[in-house]
Amino acid sequence: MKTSRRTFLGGLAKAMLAAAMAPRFVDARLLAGESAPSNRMQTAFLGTGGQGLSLVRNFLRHPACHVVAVCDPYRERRLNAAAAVTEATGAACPDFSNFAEVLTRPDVDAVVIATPDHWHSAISLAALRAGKAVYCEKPLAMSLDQNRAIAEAVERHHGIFQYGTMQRAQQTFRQAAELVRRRVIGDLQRIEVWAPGSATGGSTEEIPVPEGLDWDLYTGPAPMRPCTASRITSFGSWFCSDYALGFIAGWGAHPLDAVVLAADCDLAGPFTVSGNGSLPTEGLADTLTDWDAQFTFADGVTLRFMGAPTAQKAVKVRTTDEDNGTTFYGTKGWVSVSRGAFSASDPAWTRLVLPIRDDSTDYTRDYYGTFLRAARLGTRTACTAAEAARSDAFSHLANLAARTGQTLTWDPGAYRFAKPEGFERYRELPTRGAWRTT
Amino acid sequence: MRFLLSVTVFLCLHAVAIAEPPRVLVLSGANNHAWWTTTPEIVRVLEDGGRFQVDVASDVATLDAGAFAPYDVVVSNFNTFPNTTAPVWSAEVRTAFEEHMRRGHGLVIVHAGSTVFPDWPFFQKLAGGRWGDGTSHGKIHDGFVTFTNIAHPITTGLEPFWIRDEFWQDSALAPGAEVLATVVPDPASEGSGKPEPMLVTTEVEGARGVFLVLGHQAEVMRNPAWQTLLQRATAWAARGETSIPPAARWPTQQTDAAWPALGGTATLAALRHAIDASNGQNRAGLNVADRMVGGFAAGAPSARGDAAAVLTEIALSDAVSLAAKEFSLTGLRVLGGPDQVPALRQLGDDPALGFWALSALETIPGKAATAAIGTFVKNPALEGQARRVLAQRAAMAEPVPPGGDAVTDLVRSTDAATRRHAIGRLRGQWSPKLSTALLKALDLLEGPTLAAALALLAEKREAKATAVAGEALDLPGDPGEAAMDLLSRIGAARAVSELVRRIPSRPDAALRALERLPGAGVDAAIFEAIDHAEPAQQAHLIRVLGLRRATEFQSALFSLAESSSAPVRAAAIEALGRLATEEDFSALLAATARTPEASAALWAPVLIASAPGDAAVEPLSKAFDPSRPEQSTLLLTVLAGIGTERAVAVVSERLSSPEERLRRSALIALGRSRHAAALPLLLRARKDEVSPALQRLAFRQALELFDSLAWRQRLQNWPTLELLAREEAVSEDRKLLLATLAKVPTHDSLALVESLEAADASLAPEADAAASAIRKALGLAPAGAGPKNK
Repeated sequence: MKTSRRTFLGGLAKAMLAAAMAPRFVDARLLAGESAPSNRMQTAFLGTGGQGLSLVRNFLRHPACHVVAVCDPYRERRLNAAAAVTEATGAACPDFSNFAEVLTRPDVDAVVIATPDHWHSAISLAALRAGKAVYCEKPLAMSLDQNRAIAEAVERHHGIFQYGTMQRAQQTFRQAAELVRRRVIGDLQRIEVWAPGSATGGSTEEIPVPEGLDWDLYTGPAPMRPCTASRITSFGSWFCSDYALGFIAGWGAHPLDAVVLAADCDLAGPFTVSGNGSLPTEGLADTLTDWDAQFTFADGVTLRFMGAPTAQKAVKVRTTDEDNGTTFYGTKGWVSVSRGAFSASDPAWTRLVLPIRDDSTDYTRDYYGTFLRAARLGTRTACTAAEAARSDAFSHLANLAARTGQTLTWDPGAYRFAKPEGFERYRELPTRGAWRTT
Repeated sequence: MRFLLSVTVFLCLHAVAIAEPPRVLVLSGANNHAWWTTTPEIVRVLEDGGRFQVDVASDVATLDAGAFAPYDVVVSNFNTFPNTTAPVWSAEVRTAFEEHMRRGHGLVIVHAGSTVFPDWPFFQKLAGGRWGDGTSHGKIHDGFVTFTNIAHPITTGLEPFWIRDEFWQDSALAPGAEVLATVVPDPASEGSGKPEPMLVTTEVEGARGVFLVLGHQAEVMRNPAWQTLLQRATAWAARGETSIPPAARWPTQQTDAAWPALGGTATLAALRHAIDASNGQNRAGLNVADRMVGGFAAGAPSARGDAAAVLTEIALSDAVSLAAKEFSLTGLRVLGGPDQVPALRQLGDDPALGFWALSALETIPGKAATAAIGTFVKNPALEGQARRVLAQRAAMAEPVPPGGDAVTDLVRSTDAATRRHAIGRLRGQWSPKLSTALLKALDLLEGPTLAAALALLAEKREAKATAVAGEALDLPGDPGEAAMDLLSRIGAARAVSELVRRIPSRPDAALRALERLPGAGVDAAIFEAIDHAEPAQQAHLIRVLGLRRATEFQSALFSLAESSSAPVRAAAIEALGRLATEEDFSALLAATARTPEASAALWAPVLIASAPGDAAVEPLSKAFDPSRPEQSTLLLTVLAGIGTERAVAVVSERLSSPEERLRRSALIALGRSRHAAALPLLLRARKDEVSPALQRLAFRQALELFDSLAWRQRLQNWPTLELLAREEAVSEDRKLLLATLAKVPTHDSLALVESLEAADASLAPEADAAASAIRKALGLAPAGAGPKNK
């Protein structure tokens, strides 16, 4: 109700006042030569399935972007992307099957990675080593060690890395973070985060590898399996543990990113995680369909991270009946934010105009442009690898606690399990082939 | 001769039947108790001394009608709680079970294995009892079990005994069940203090049943008396007789009830069982085994080694599925040690398992493992992985490439990559010395390099950079933008005059920077700048004050609201709309009323309406000015948008106004209110309204409002659509109703669409479209494609 009212008032204000107000101004940057050839970042797209293709389309609209290559081991998918580029620019776009070929090209300044998750680490590391600026889709990678490897490579190579958590460009997430950081809600006490769980099912029946698909390359660092219909669609790359952690990371990335924006509780020292969850017993999908993980941080703040089915029962204060969101509880009240809603114990808080914290880039108007600008100038990206590794670590730790039923103590500074010691080996997964993932 | 032969054959068969241990089928694989630890215990107790031949069904739902034939007795450690309505077995399987039981076989229930098949009278009667509505239990404590009938084969010759368990109270016993043993649960442990059945038998149409209420968890099953009861109960249920002697160390003292520590063997058996359970069936067992591997990883190193040995044995076994072997190798990644190296090396030759074996070897430290990994290089499929692992094992930390002075690098950089690299190094090595060097070098920089340097200085909050940034503000492109960005972040009050000067040339960026500029004294500096600014800029600056919530200038803004300059008046009212407090709403609306500009008149109510709760409702409801009719519509719309009960009520008062224009405005406002409470008001208005045009409007606004509600509210308010469907309406409106129904895909909607179509054939195209949309959303077959599913 509150949201509708705000939206309503906003819409009303826009509609009724457009004529009466002084003219709105043109974005000054469009006049500042951003699209001059010398300033356009030569960008290649690695992975051009559903999300990859939509990123190609979004970046194409940006004056500072020049798409110079598309790459996917599935011919149909890379040709679709090349066609989209040609349609928009009138020029032919070279297409590649193997990302390694793209990375050797000196005319590529930046790469946008939208492969299935099991490829994120290997390609990001190779691209950073090759000196390319990297825009990588969420979730970050398949294991805690892979996450660290990416963050370290960014530091070691002075690389540019932007994480594809577009949602943080929504003004409401900035606003919620400010309400927490400025202690409008008082001292932060606990956080609730919830996200949809993985689906169940998916075909396990082997099919011939489709014409034009390099199955070995598609599989990459993941275990080699017989090809099935669901393995080569987003179903497999979202819900099958060979290729992903499941929606605990794939969707969890968004509401957990809101935590990283608003609080630093995970940096305060070693923290504990315990939890449980539900796994499918049949079909291709074998990642958590629901989970309930409890984090206790060194500064006393707690975080409960849940799958939507658990949240449906457990979460009292919710923005709406949405299946994703983040609620921060402080000593003076709460604020709750999700993809489609924003509310607070004092509704007036949601309308406070809080200048954005001055130590960060204002990416809310132009998420892709922030990356292109960083690729050009070395400025900060909208979401750094270090931030990405923080939010993704919540998913990995919750997943591990839920799947093993153990209480874990994670030391973020030393980047290891303080307890139990025997858990150190859970930091990495088996990976196939010569590609380095850590 | 023939007779003798027959007798001989009969005797032989009989002898064989006696000698052959009874065959037991244990139902397991699901239970609201820890079946993965209790089932291995049950199996162990029954197999002890070769008394029974045991098979375990871990996926009970897949048992077919022929599944029971080989067995003398079924032992249930299975339930579907809390889903008590799960059918599990088809009628055919149930019938087969009943017939099998009636042929002189038996059923033994362990603890919560009773709480299943509530809709199956035969099973319930044979089971002897279950967890009922009134059943409860206290805390786990030591209880003394006494026998109420020692003439029964199961209890003959047994002494009372102590056991530590969860004791059910007021279990729901089946009619005809005989209680053989009881415990009086201790009230000090929330027990009932009266005798509660712990061992119950039944005999139903030739079938024998035993309900062993004891046995909440694996530790309980280590009690020797419990083991004797399970063995004897199973033997009796199978054959109607038993001669099993009581266990040796009978727990006659309370101290005997204490739980023995579960040895490694029990958990290892559970691990093995969990992996076996999923053989080619489903992953339930592996999911459990996965948890156990985690448990071993968290446990003592010696237990880790034992578990690794079990996993190795499974990985090498010929009798298990590929999935089980693969799982075992992933477990060894976590639990494996040097002892596993030879086996892993051997498994490397298996094409299906080589990858998993190598992956397990990767995590094992030591030279032996490294040497074993070396052998994988010869395997073309695994060469790349093996070489990578060897390289990583051998690698020292990658040396950081040598570099000169980062500032010099930046000055010399001409391409984006070098620039990025230099900035990255500066960021990483930042120090006051570097900061000074960079500030000095700014003069040498231009274009994107200057912009990059300014961006870094802003990030590092280098206050000395504001002077340079002020000079760079007018540069075109990146440097100008970076300078603006720097000022807006760290410029504080000093930056205000620079930014104000840029309003004419770069209005968007300058105003946005002023709006977000942090620091003390910024509001005052902006307010001061208003005095010196051109009239055109004044309005901008006043708006900025509003956006910044500069409340200390509220009274000053009230005087500006009376200014002779129209843009200033409008801006002041807009700013006040943002920062006025509740007590000033009326004053602001009064000031608005004195302002001739329409835009100002619009702003104030809209902004005020965003105040929390009902704070704005009273001032707004008093602001109606008969001389400004156009404002009434706005006020009503704004009030409806507030959406509280009170606000909606104020709007609905206008529905009875004598002025048709006001009634129209109120209807429109209610339609846009997004408040479900306005729905009945609109329905009533449709009845009360005299103007036919407004009657139609009420109908359409009700639909618009319905469409704007959240999904859950739409479901709650669905009856509204049914009421509208009964209304007399022109077919245009009916079509709108159909479109709304299509967006609420329920079976009720489908029925309503069909009835509307039946009543008025002219609606057929729209009704068909709506019906097919609903069918699609509900996952129903298109109309005519099959039987209707309602």
